[in-house]
Amino acid sequence: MNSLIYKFLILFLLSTPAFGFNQAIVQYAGEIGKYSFGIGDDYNKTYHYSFHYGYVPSNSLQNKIETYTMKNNFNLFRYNYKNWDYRFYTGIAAFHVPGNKYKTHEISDAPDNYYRQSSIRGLFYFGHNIRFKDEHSIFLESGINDYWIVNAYNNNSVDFTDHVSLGIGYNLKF
Amino acid sequence: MKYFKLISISLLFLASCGELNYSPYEVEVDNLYLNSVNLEKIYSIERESEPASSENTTFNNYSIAVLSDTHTYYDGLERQIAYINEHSDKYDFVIITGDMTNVGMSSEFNATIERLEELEIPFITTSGNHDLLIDGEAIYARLFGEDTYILNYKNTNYIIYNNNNWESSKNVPDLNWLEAQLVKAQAPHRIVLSHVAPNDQDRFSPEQIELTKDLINNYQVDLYINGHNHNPAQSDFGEATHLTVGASSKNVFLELNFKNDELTYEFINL
Repeated sequence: MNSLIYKFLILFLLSTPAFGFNQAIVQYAGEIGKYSFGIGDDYNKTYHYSFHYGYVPSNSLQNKIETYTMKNNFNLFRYNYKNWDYRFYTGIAAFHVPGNKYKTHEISDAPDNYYRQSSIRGLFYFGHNIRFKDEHSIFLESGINDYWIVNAYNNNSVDFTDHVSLGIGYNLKF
Repeated sequence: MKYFKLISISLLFLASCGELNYSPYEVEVDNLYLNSVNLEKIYSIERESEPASSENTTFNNYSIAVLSDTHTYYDGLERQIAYINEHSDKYDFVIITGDMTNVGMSSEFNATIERLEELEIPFITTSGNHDLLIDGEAIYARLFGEDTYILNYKNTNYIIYNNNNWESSKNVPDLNWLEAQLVKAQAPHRIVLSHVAPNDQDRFSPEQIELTKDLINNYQVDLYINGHNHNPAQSDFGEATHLTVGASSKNVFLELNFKNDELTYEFINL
């Protein structure tokens, strides 16, 4: 199954011009992997979307964690100054974490759907993007995942700012 | 210039409230071994309250609180902790019979422990089925240590064990271990605690249920206490009284009282 995903990913990356993608993105942290790599496009002046592959290296307690993410950014505010372009945006991302242990809805001994699925999660975030000369841009995002949004909604004692994750990245437009 | 200031301030604000998290499933926990640490605290309470003479009959008079299925019901858990702290003179310690998370994530365990550490008395736990999902088993081992152990406190043997047979990587329930502990249990009161009810027909075979019942009867267990089902309940399991604690969302917990060698229980509704 994994090799099929990799083949699809390589095929997808090679055919990016055909799909109209014109941006390469690297991101550090932000819940979608320690390092993630993606391709993206400005659909119009308001909406930007991108697809990412991310991973967290293994350590003594866990195996490598991989994520496949689709991010959707919506510009809330934009400001241009000479060669600089600043955007403040909000966004939602959906990410899939492959691996049997994350498929909690079908763990081996329990009846199917005894637990809810855990392999697909969501992230809501705000971000800043500063672009220079229309090519290079860096961004900073602060997000909270679906799990802690629900918990903050259900519990007065949960402060969602305790569960904010930061992500930083670089975007190259080609 | 005005925009530059606005951008700088908002960048600083966003950067200041957050951490560079890599994944919700990243395992990020300290080695706390809270069960071992808190068992030692409980034994030191016993040593400190030991009577100077054997005529002191109040030594064995005490109460404990039993919580379960705190999951992500943090408001309910905080209410339970506030009540127990208000009555901390009454309770010697707290036992939590599992399910402190929904899917065994580090962030869930950490959020629960952050609250449990507000307790003014020691707490010990066993694992629940939800706690063992994903990497929960490894995280639980780091945070709490063993989930199957005994506590011999004053006039009671507490036998606490993991019986999450669908989720645990171990071969549980280990009824040989349970019998070995019951053979050694010589105190006037014997209480067995687990997360799942011993008569759960979905999880356990009729033979397993009967064997557990025989052990409970043969070794004269007073109480069998479990969580898992979120509504508090009382019934019989063999010759023992069978109590289901109830979840934190139900604003209830179980109180055990030991007075003049008599054991009674009460569900405390908050």
